[in-house]
Amino acid sequence: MALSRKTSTPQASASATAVAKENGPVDAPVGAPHFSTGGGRAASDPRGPGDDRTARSAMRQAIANFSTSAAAVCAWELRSFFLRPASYLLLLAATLTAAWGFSWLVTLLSRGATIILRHADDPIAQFLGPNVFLIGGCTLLVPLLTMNSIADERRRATWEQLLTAPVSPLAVVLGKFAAVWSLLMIALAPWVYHVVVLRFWNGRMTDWHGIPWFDGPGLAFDFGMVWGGCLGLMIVGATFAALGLFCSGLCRVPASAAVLSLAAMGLIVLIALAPRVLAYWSFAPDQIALVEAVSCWGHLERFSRGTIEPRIVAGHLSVCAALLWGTAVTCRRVDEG
Amino acid sequence: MSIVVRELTKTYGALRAVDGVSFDIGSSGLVGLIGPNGAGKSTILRIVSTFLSPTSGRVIVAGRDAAVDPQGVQRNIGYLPENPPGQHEARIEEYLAFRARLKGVDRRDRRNEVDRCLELCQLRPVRRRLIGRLSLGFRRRVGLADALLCAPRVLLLDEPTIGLDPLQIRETRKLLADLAHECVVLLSTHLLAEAEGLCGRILVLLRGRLAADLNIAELRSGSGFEIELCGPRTECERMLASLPQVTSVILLATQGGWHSFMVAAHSARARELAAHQCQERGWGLRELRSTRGTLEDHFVRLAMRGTQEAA
Repeated sequence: MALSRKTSTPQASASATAVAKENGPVDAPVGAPHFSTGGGRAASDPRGPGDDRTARSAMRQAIANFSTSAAAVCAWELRSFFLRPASYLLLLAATLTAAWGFSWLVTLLSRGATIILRHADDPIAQFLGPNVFLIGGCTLLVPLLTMNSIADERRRATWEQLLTAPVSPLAVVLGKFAAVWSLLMIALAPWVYHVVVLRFWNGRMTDWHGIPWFDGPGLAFDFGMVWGGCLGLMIVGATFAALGLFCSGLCRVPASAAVLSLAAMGLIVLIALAPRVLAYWSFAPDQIALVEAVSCWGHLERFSRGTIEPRIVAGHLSVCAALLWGTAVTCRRVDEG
Repeated sequence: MSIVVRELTKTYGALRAVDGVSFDIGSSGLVGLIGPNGAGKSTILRIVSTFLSPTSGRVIVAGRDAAVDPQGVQRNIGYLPENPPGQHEARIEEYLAFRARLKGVDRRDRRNEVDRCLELCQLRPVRRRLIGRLSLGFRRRVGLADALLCAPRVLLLDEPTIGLDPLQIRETRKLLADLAHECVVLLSTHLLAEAEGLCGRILVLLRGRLAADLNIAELRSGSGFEIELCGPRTECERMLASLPQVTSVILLATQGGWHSFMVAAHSARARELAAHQCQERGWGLRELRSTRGTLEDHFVRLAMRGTQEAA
């Protein structure tokens, strides 16, 4: 029976070198002085430029390991999703919702002879902006996609194995986030696909050397709104995915995670509706503006009109980063009981 | 030392799941962790594996402090949790390849490493099977194969033979015995016969405390003993520890000025010397007996004593 010991993996050897510099040799006997692990460099530290290079190299290696681990988790999550038959039902439901929304868009377009490309009330802007189908679809999709991420891993006891592998919890959370965000984008892809079809096909077929082929280009409209809508979906979708993941990290059972995420998504819808209610109740404009400033669906509306505001992008990315960091911290606290 | 645990305590609200446990484990060998349900065995393994953090105390694995460098600890351990892998939709070899990738095995070596672990755990014939369709025994072996990836210096196994058939148990025990030549294996088990047959050393946990640290060879030779004496506690403990050939002294109980100690020793002469020292110092001595017997006898005695104390 071969029991050959692999002395170290590339990941292990690089980090072992880095840690050995701080902690002493790996095989050194454990004693009191050995426990100390100085964080920064002491004033009398005689290390020279060569050591700085080694430190930089160790840092690069650590970043590479972090991203490799996150990529591995992301790839595994995506793979696991597509191996479950229920996932295809979910994607089918998302596609049908988009198709339903598209039929509503076509109805709107058929009422007017031409599209008037105004910033408000434009059907295309409404299609890729906050409409009842998109809001409903996202509100249901996010809990269904994120409930399995952490809560289900806990239920199946695979979370323990994942976190005892040499991977930082943040890398695991980041990998899972990347997977959930990608899946959300895949589920929302039919919305964009429909608009592209509308732009490049007029809905009639022609005969091309005996082969049925597309008759010609479709409706002419400003593609800026489509780009804006796509970017908005990507950015606001990232916040939704991070929020869902955070809720999943707080729960031990997928059903609780789904309910919590649903409640969070419901709150986001309520925040989107709040400005109209506040205006009806004659609240001050600055108070209404404050609520509008934190409304995710309001942000998507601005994106879908082709307006890209850097402060909104930065705000969503910051919230996303905070939620992911919070997930990594709180999920470990939940594990501790 | 491969594992150093000092004054480890873990509390869940008012419950002290682990209470001031300390032990050291050398660079190789098989060490058993036994105790009744709720004694804290799995909690200790979870803390050593870095999944849980202790409320207080310190854990050092392969020279890395778990609180300071958890990833350093994780690189040196292979951990088989109580529940086997639950990735039902994955095939065995795909799952192991993913775990190998997480553990930092280079893409070129990954296949060989997975093959090695499949071979060790006799999973080659079923390598393409979905984990969800495997029996509990096979799933535990998949978990064991995962723990063996990267040939860790420390193996932490929580009930490794539960759910296996008799032939698989035999093979697994043989595998563990072989592995113990190259690394430290710390296994938790309910099966006393298994612990006695496999392990050279047994840590007995009762209600979160380390009740005994037994050397199986000493247990069989009867050179260890239990002594109940009346005198200043610390002096009694110091006197017993200073006896030649004594390896450990554990206080079992204190009642009405009488202290019960369990003493592990390499030679039966330590027992005679203990009696002699008590007489010389004028301390009362009302029980002195060899701890020769099976692990089960010993464990039952400790557990009964613990129950009486709790009552």
